[in-house]
Amino acid sequence: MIKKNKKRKCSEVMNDDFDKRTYLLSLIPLSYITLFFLRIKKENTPFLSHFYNQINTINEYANQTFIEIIRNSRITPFNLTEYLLSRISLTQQNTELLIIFFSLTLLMLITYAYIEILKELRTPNKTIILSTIILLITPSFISQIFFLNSTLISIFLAQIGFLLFLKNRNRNIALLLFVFSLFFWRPITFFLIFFSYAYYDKTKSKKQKTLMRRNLIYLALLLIFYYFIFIFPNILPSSYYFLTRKFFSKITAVFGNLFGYSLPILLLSSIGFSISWFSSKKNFWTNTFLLIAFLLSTYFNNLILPLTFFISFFAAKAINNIASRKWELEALRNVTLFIIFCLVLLSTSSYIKNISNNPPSMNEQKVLVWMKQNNHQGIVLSLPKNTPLITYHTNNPGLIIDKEIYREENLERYSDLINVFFSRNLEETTQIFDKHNIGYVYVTNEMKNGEVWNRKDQGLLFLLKNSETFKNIFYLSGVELWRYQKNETG
Amino acid sequence: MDKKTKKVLLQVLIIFFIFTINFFIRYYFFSQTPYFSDDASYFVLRQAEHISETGRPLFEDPYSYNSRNYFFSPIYHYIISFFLLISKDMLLIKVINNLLAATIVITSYLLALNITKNATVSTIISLTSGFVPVYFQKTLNTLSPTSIFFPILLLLVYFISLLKQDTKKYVGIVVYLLFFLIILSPLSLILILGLLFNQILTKIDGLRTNKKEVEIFIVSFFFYLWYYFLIYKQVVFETGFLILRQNIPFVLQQDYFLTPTPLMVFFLVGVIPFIIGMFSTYLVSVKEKIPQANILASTIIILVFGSFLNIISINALTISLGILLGVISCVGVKKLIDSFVNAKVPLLKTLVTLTLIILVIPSLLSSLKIGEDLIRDTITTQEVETFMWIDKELDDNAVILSSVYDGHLISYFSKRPNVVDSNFLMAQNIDQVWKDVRTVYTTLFYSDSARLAFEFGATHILVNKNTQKVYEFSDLPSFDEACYKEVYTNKKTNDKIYQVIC
Repeated sequence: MIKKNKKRKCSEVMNDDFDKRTYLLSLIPLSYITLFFLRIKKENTPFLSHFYNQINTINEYANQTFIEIIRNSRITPFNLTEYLLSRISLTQQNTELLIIFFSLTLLMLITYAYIEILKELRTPNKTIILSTIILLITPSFISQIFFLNSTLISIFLAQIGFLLFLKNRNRNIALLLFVFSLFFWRPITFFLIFFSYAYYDKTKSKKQKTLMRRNLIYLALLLIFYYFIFIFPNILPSSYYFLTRKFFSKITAVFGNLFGYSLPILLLSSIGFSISWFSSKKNFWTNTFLLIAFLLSTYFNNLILPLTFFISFFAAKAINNIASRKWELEALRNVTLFIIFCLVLLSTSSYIKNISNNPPSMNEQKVLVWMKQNNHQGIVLSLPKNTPLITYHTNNPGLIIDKEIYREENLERYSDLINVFFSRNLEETTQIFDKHNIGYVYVTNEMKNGEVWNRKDQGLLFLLKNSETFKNIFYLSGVELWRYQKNETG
Repeated sequence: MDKKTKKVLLQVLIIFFIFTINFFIRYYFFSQTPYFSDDASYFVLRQAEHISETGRPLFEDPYSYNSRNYFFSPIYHYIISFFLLISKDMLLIKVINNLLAATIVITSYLLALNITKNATVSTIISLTSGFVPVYFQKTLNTLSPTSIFFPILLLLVYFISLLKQDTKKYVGIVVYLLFFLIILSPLSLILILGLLFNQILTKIDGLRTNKKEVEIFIVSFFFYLWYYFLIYKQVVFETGFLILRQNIPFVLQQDYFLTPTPLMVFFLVGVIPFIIGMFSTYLVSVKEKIPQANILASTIIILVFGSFLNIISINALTISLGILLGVISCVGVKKLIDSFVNAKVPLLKTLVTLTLIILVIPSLLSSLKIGEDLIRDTITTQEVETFMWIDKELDDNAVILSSVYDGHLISYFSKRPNVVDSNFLMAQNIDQVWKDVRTVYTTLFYSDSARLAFEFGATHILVNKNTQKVYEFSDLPSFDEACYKEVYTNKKTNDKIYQVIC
């Protein structure tokens, strides 16, 4: 008992200026619920298209046994989060509520754990508050409210494990949490190994060092095991995927992409990072690791979310530095801080606007609901990103789903899709329709306004309007549903 | 009146004289035509007129590209609209624009004097700055923020260099000028990066960084970011890094983002600015530490880097280089005069000064030639008649297909939508549009040209001097009576307008 009290006292001494009210910040994710209402107000569906992707997988899993899912995982990679949700949820509506509930709870818990970790790392209270606020307004973090992300679960488990280590409590449970986190998102291993090493390097106690060394070996073995099993066989077929993509395509995620970095926060963070890099050599390896991870995130989108936590911290550090440095032109200090505040505010508000205006719209949903009610069944041709929404509302498959575009077996399908979108040759188009057994064409406003076509009579749009092979069966505020009337005599 | 005051007064009179000469030479040229020399000026004018009528810029334009949104900083347009409220006379607008542009004579003098503390050198610099050929060309008979941007940039650098003397007195002026410069043009980034690069060079040299300059950099950097994020956020969201290329069609990119050869800069910038300016930049950045000139040298280096990365348009690059090299050359000129003075040869100083003034003459003559060519190539009253005919005779729903260089003229004079103009930012699928417009004017098959015209929603096709020059033909090659009807011919200019009827 005395020992426990001593430990507690020790942890309290660690951060003298910590204000317990800081924990209240972890309630801010509750305000994200307003995003659903904002989307509805802008006549969009409450959820983003990622949600429909997840819910379709859950529904798919719900009808299969575990063995069947594993057997099919060669085609569609197994996802533990969706599997667990499919086992918990009973109905479709129940699943929707579960996803919102879990993602909201997780976001609050993660924020709490983030504050706790920074506190344990003896970060000044001002920096904790700032970095938490920045984290809470970062696009990649806000967007997590719309679906239950495996990466987020993995980060949460790793956070708790790391916290237990920092607090010198239940190290075995911590290790177990690390292992569990790997089941949800394997790349977390890199973060775990690196930070375990950083912690090991700073630990002075011999006993702790031995324990850390052992943990490090376990983690490294796990990493080798996982990557040997899952990554190695996929290296060859997936290599073209990276080659074909534009080098900077992920960097553009910086510019307001729904799941990317926020540009002003990233810039602030780069200032904070530079300060950390040049002011002290203590964190050299940690900084190098983060720099490499950031560069990798331009290719591997999944790394953006875990890096957001560090980026928020460095951004807060930059703001703190600007506020606390001795200014020769004193008048400029407040002007600069005000401008930074405006900049971050503008970035967040424009992000919220983007997320509220993002498709799918209510009209798109209504057209699909009508399609199901009127029993129109068949493969639907549309943009690959619309496929989850189509499947969710109509149970009809799309020609191709966006996350599977780059699979080798889908290359032909994808090239046919591009050809059919831009061809004005009826014969060529009908051949492709027959080849893939396409029954319907679903056209949204975004497709007509630049996502596919730029002119009103371009490619397939011309054929839809001018050929009797296609019949418009439903139209609602620019959203069109066409039926392909197969020429049986031919 | 003491001797010192007399000397100052004489200097003021000399600078005022150079300013007046510069302005009247400008006046001689621009008063010869009631029109502006480029189509972009008519975009500015349309915006300014809209502001003077409604108080707001025209961000949603029903005419450009047959309806589109603009993204730009409207400060210069507000300034012009203020003068439009006083008088609608184009001559007044030209006078104001050129008066502002001619102030470069004064600001370059002030900065050069601050750097060299030598009135003779500063006078030579002010004379050359006013007649930097490319600056003279781009500010003489066109409406563009460039006319104010460079005088203010030099004034700002002057006040930044004064901060050391009296921080409290000048900090306010510096902040206001800095904010004004930033909102005036995105090109202000060159100065911000110049400030940063200057501090990096100082750090590399192992010297103490100037804290005031660092602070000015921080505030200007964030302000720049905030302001242009506010304006361009949608463009940035949709195009990402490609915003640096301004959505300029691929075919034109070679002309816009050309890496200049030394010979090209030599002619566009002038003799003294180029040779002595380069030498001075080398001196300032490597050998001599002149804090006032350091910012200029760093900005020049940033500009040269930018040109190699092909992210600064050739126009912006040559004007900036011309002005900055012109001003920084004061360091080299002073060094030259001083070295001859030290040689203790009688009258040598006067001789060197005279030689330098003689060296300015080619730049001056070059500017005069440029002015003459510019006015000669300016749109004429007869050519404007064609555009006015469209306004008077054609239906309100008419959409005119023209070359890219006539787009703004159609919007301004004809008050009808165009298919393409030189404001490319956020124009959808610009490469395809460029290619298709070219096809309309060059194909021999009327079915192709009429189909494309129909896809653009164009009701009429304009054939004039610009289309003939760009697409190298005398008349529409695909003309066929079944598909086109000639509705207008300008007998003086041979301009034609065809109606698409099939």
